Amino acid sequence: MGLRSFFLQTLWNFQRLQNLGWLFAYWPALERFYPDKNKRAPRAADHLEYFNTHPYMASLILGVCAGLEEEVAAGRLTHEQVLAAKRNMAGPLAAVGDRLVWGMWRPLIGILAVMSGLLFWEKIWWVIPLVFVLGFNLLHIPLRVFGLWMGYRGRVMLIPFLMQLNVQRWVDYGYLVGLLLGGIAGVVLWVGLGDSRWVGLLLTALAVMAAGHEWSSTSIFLAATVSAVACYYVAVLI
Amino acid sequence: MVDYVGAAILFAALSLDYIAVGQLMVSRPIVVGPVMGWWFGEPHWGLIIGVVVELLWSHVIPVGFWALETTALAGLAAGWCALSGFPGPGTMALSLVLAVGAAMVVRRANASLREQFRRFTPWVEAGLTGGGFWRLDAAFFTGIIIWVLFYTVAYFVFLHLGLWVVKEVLRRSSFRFQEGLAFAGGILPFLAVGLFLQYLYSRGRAGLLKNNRGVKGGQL
Repeated sequence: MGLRSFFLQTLWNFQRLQNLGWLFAYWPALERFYPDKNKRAPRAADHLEYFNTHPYMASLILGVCAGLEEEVAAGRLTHEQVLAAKRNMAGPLAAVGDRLVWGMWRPLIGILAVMSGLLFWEKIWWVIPLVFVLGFNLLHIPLRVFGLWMGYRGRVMLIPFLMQLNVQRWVDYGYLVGLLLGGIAGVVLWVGLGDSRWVGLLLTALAVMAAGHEWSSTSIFLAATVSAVACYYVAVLI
Repeated sequence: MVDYVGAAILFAALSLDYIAVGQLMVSRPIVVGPVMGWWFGEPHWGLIIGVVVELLWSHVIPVGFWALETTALAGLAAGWCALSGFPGPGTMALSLVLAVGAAMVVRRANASLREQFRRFTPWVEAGLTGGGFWRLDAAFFTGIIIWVLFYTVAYFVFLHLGLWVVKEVLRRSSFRFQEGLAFAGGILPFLAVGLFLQYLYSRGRAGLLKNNRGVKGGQL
C-alpha cells in the first residue's frame, strides 16, 4: 500500500479527483480482507467515490481505513463507517498537509538548498538540487511510511496525536528560519549586484508591494523584466 | 550533436513526479533547471534559472487547474538559454519570459488531458462488477504511458519552437536591447529572493498574529 500510494494522483481527474488513485493504493487491503471476489467487488466500487486530500497525508487515511476494514471483515463495524472515516479525515488532513508541506517545508528546504550552495555553486552546482531533494524527502518519506503504519495501528487515537504535535507552531518556526536564511541570501545577492543594486532594490520593493496587492507572480515577473529593460534604456539616454 | 529526444525523455521522466508519480520533488524547478542545463552543457545557467523560478513561484502547489507548470518553465528556459549559443543573464531573462507563455500552454494541455481521465472511472467500475479487476492496474499503466508521451512531445516541440524564437530575437535585436535584457537578468535572482521573503512573511505573519492573540495551541 505504501508503494502504491506514490501513484495516488496518476489518474487525477476533475470529476472525482483522487478516487482512482485511492482505490489503487487501497487495493491490497481489500484483497487481504476480502479474498472472495464477489465480496470484494462492491467494497471496491464504493471506494471509487469522490476523494481528495494531501498526497502525503493520504497514507494516514489509508492506514486508518485498512484497520477499520479489518474490523468490517470481522463483522465488528459497518462498511459505511469506513467510508465516513475516509471522508471526514480527508479535508482536515489536506489542510494540515498543505500548510506543513507545501506552505512551509518546501520553501524552507528550497532556501536552505540555495544557501548550502551559495558560496561554492560555481564549482559544485549539483549540491543545491541534491540538498533540496534529500532535505525535502526527510519529511516526505517518513510521513508516507510511518503515516501508513500509525494510521493502521493508532486508528481512533490518530487525531488526538496529531493535535498534540501542534503543527502550526512548527510551521511558524519554519517561516522564521526561512525568513532569516532568505534575508542573508538577499543581502549577499544585493551586494553582488554592483552598480545596479539600487535599481534592483527599487524594482524588488515595487514587486513586493505588488505581491501585497495580490498580483500574481507571473504578472510581477513580466512587469519587473519590462521595467528593468526600460530602466536601462532611460539610464543610457540620461 | 545535441540529443533532443534524450532531453525530452529526461524531462518527461522528471515531470512525472510533478503530479503523476511520487511527488519526490525532482520535478521542482530547482532540480529540473540544472539537470536540463547540464544535459545541454550549461548546468550553471540552468541552476540560476531553476533557483529564480523556484523562489519566484514558491507558492505554486501541484494541484488544481491554475497551478503554473513551473517544471516546464524551468526546463524549457534552461534548454533555450543553453542552446542559444549566448548563455548569459540577458538570454536567461528572454528565455524565462518566453517560457512563461509555453508553461501556460502546457498547463492548459495538462488540464485537458486530466479532463479525459474521468473516462477511466466508469471503465474500472464496469470491470469491478464483471470480475475484471485487471482494469485498475491497466488504467494506471496507461495513465503513466500517456503522461510520459505528453511531456516528451510537449518538451520536444516547445524546445525547438522556443529556441528558434530566442535565436531570432537575439539575432535581430539591437545591442542596447540585449544589454537591457542582461540588466534585467542580473536583477532577477535578487527579485526572486525578495518575493520569496514576501511570501514567507505574509504566510508566517498570519500564524504568528493568530498565536499572539492568545488562541490556544494544539490546533491542527
